[in-house]
Amino acid sequence: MQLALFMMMTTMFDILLTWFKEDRVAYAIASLILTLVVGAALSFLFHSLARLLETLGRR
Amino acid sequence: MYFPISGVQVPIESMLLLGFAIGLMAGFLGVGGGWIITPALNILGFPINFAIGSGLCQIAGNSVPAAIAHRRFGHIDFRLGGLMTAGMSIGVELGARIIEHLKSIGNVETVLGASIVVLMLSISTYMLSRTFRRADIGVVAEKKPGLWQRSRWKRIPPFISLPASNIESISIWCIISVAILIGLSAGFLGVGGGLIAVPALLYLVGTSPTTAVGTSILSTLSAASFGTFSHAMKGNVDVMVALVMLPTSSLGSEIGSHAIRCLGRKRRAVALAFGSSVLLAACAELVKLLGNVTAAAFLVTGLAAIMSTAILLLILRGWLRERRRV
Repeated sequence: MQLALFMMMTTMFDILLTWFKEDRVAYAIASLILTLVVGAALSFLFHSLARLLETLGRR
Repeated sequence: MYFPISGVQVPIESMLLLGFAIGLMAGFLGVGGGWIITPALNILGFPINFAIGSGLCQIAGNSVPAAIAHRRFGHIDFRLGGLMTAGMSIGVELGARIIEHLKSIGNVETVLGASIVVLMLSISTYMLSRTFRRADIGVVAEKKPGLWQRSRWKRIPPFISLPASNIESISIWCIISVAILIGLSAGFLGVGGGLIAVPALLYLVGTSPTTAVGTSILSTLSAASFGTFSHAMKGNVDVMVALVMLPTSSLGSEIGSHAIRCLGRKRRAVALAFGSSVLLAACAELVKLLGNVTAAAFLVTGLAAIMSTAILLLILRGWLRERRRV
């Protein structure tokens, strides 16, 4: 699982690096989409976790 | 960890801890955090143009949930936000182009570093002087017309009404000019989304505090997104920096927003802590400019550690009080 995640990350970073060098428009679009999606997903995750902890704490 | 896009090697623990501290402070103080991200990344070893571009990228990622939350609470004036976004995007693009020009001349580090120090010293001095001068800091009891509304420039057409902000008629130039200046500061220095937009909307345009915060977050999100795109096109963004810092900064942001509840009515203490933090970050950048990177790193790490500990202690105290009540 960890190895697959690591491989996926490495491949993604390699693609980004290639785009940074060769295709700036693709790099700019990818940077923007990646940041917004990852930011929104992580915040949703932590917000849900906080709510769950709050509910468990009340019980 | 090696960041191949910017060509910098930084310990991953520093990046994760920095992300957590930035998120904690941003969530607690209700701002994007560009005032600490840019100097901190620069001090860690990133070239200043990368610190600005990647900082904007990180702010864009972190602003999404805040904008969604403020939309849910009805704090956003979309008409004002649209105009602010347009103006800030122009400003951000101008800022990015100035950086390009400085890069071609070859003295980008010194000029940008010095500009960041001057801007942040001015902001922190203003904030601290207001904190010490007024006992009712943070309390905006009555709604006054904005500075622009009281000036003689208010008659310049075209006009727009902002019902969500209770403003009957205001010159579009007022909003656009304020937004361009804020965007310029964000695009050129990476500092000044919420830090300048909230007081500008409050005192220059004359919106209510909640609308100022909500609308500034929406415009910060759109301007930071546009800034990310523009800076990435110009080769100033290392997206890996933002992706590495986002997990811990999102966690910190969530914890920081909970700390606000434990604060009670100590708004003066928050304003004092905020002003001092901006002042310390400016001092750290100044020390780095003077050539002492170790002392600058010590200052910025100390600032992050002290603020994070204080916020976590605040949460712990609130939690203990609640348990005692139960």
